[in-house]
Amino acid sequence: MRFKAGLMAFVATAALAVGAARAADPNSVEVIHWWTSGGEAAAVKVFADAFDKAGGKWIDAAIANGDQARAAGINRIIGGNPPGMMQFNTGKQLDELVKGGYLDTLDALAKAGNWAAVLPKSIAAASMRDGHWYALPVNIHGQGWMFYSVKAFKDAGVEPPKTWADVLADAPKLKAKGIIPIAQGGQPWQEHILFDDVLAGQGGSDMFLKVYGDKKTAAAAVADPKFKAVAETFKKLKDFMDPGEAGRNWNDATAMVITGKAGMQMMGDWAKGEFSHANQTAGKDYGCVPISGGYIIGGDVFVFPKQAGASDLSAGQKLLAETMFSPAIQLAFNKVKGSIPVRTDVDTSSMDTCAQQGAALMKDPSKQLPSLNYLISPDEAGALDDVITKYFNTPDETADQFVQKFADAIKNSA
Amino acid sequence: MTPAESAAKFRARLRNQAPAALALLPAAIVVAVVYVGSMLMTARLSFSSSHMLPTFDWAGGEQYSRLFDTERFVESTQHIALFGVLFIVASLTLGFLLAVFIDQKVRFEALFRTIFLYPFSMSFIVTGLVWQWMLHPELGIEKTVRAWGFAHFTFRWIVDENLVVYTLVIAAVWQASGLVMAILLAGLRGVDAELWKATKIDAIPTWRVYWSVILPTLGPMLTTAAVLLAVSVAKLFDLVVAMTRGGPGISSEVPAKFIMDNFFGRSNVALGSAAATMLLVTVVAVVGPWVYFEHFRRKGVRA
Amino acid sequence: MARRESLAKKSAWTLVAWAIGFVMFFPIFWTGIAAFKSEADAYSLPRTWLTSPWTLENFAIVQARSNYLQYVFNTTVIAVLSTLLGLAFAIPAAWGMAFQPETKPSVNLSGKAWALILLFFFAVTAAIALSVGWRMTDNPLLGLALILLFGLPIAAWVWTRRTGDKLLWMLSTKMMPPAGALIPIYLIFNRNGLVFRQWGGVDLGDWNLIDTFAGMVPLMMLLNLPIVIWMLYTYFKEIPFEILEAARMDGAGLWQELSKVLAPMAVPGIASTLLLNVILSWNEAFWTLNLTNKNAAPLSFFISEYSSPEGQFWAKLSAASLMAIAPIMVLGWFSQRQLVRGLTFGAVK
Repeated sequence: MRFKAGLMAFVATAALAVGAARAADPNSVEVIHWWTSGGEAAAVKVFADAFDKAGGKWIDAAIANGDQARAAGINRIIGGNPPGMMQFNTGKQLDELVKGGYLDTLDALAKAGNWAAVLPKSIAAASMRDGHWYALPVNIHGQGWMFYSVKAFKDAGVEPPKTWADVLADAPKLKAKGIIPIAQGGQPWQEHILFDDVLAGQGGSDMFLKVYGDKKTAAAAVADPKFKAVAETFKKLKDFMDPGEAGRNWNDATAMVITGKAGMQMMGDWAKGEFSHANQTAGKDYGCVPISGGYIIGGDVFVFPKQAGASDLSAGQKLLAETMFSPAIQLAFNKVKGSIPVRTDVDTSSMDTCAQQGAALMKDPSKQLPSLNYLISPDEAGALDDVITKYFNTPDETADQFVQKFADAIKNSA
Repeated sequence: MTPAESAAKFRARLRNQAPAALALLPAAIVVAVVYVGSMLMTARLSFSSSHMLPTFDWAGGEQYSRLFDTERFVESTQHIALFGVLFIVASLTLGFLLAVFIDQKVRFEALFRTIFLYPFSMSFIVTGLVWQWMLHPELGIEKTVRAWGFAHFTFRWIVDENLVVYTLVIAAVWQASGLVMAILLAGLRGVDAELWKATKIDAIPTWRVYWSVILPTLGPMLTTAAVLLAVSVAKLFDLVVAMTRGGPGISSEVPAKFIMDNFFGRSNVALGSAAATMLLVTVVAVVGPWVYFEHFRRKGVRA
Repeated sequence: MARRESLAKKSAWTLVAWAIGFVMFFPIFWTGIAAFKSEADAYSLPRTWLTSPWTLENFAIVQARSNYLQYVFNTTVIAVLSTLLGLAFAIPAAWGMAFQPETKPSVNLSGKAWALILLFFFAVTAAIALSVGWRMTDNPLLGLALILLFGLPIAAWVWTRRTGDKLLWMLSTKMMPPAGALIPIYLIFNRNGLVFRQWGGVDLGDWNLIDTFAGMVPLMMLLNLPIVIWMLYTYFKEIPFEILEAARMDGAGLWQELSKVLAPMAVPGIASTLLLNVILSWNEAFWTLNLTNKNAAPLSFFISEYSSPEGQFWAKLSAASLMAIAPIMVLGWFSQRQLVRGLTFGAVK
């Protein structure tokens, strides 16, 4: 009998757990995001604390790794158990959800907050579909940065590089001093970022846009001898990395620059979050160089999935969006996160030198490049990931072979 | 037998067997519809042009031609073939040695049996994580051996694109050889004591007895073990995810991971289905002969 | 055993046993040590494993971050409920196979088995071809043929009197790579409304099974059903048939036969099966990684969380690993025999 009762209780709890995800409190918002590394977690806490202070209740549902978090979130949205708010990268990722009518529009909020006036045009465009606002942009990330350890370069007696040619010239000197010249995380997406940095930095913005543009222009751009030169430079960088690079996470690579074990890391400016988390100051302990020659714009947005039985945003969702978009929180968040505020009306003079460099670059449209999320489908990006990582990790694959495979991958993918 | 007699016999058989057949039916339907149905649907989708969402349109063999044009898939199949052969041979060999060894009536036999089996009761995820550390170029085995005084010892297969598959083999063999041991040990325990007496009298060395007399009698057990191992080869996924994530480069990618990546991250349902179908066809080609073999092994023996 | 070993030889064997045992156990041992060390000390293993201080902080940190107990709860719910559900299907099926009155074979068995095997392969290939054809031509006749093709192997399977063949057929499904079935299962879990509308032309509405117990319990039941049936069958087989015959003589119906006579005698077997199924569900990773993320995520998901963002935090990783396998280490000690028996499809009894 006791067994039976226990079983009943068990089933009841199980059933309850299934239903429990739908929170009742109108001011509580469950948030799916993938900010789990030390610096990222500290940044997201800025939002959470500000929201709680404003009277809301932030329910954290962090899922490590962007791919996994997006897959999980999309599953829940389509399956009818949506979170209150969910992170995406600025770009094409949310298209299918908008098409399916799964997201609430933010038009009223945008109008009240005058979003159109305070956001840069490209970011505003990326947050809208068919004239309606669907995404709340929270930051602008630049992908094409090189971060270096001031101490490592001083020890080696080398000036930090400004171009890829400099990198190739300086790296052997660092190596001679027993410093790992380049800290890299050996995961396909990180290698892709590195490749894009070389492509934009050495090949030029024009080549970058063509390679990732229309399939016809891409074929011509890839056949250009300059593209092969890019591939060769990219491959040479491998010689300046340590054997433990395979499979390493980006934040572990950043930690190597922080400790001075490695000289530099090519990464998006989210790496700055790790530096400040380790109490390092830009310009003093570490430096940054826009090695891609401009600003490869990425960023994060949040969307608000339609809730079952609700016709509009809940009070909590509205409050959360307003809180996150307010100038003071924008500044505080982006300082920790390492990105720059999406609002052009925020005074960035209190931010570090890297962010100020970034903000200056953002003022010059000719220096701005969209990141891959805007340009190509996940299918193509994935196929190129494979080609790039294969080339980078196979010593005897030639640049010619790589160029051929790169062209094929573009042709074959959707 | 007259028609009436045979009809009566048939009715009697029906009356006897109907309850049993009915009892079997639910399980049979569930298994057939879900397993076979899923496989059919996978095959169907592989001929479509589905991206993020499945569509049941007709795109012919387009996905297959792309699939075999995709270096990562082609290499994945090579990795899995190399892994499969080495893993099966090594696990069988090591498992046999362990079984022979336990058969020597060592002390604390039960303890050792459990220790050898423990890796098997751990999931591939945990196995992968533990071995990732053991094989790390600066930690684990390399560090341990260096601490023992061999200062220049290096063991960096896991970051070498030509050798990384062998590290997967090491971890998987560690995990599975206990299972082979358990299967073969049961066979060894069935060996007639008279046989040992006879070989002792003839002064045949023990290893010869194992090799020429006992091993052949273990044939069916070895086959079963080999099939079980082969099945886990086709399923290989979580070990790779936990241990190498397919790297360095694509040098430890496997078909199952290719399928997952295309299905989830890359919104490429049709291409993933094509790869899955190829995997299924291969496994059917392996399991089919085994089913046939098992049947004839049991022929005449009422199960 | 007639072999006599000299003492020296015997102790040599024992020594080798310890050496091999040590090598096999080393990675587990290492993990076990590291889990109780601080991050820095874990990093400097093995030099300092005796000297550095022991700590429980890793466990506290892991629990605080991932709520280990929630995962244990989820794992238990899935394992236990799926087993109970599985038993509901498996007990009748195993009973059917174990106690079905057998008549002397009147046909050539090998010929029949041949036909069965051929039929199965024919059915699979033809069904693929036909389902494709059906969607292409929208011909209902082809659809009917499809249903027959599903139906025939089932009927043949039920009708075949050779229990060994039945078991083989069932167990062979367990050998298919799950990646081959993932996409349809995922679609049924998540995009079912769409699938039914497109594939069958019926609107059943949308519902979500991803990351719910309602999805994971039946799925886990299905995955292990062949093994559960097999296990039960071998236990049932040990029950003397005469008792059942006696009950039947006394006029016991099917239900009474099952509940009054069989069930009490089968309790140990059912308990072993339950134990095995719990272990299997516990270690299942492929499906749980792909189909759960929070509400119904079991321990295999919990441990995989530590593989990606925390690559270098070895002590915490070790603690998490240890927490994930500890229940299995305990259960495994007591249930080795069931484990081997179940996982080898009866190669070992």
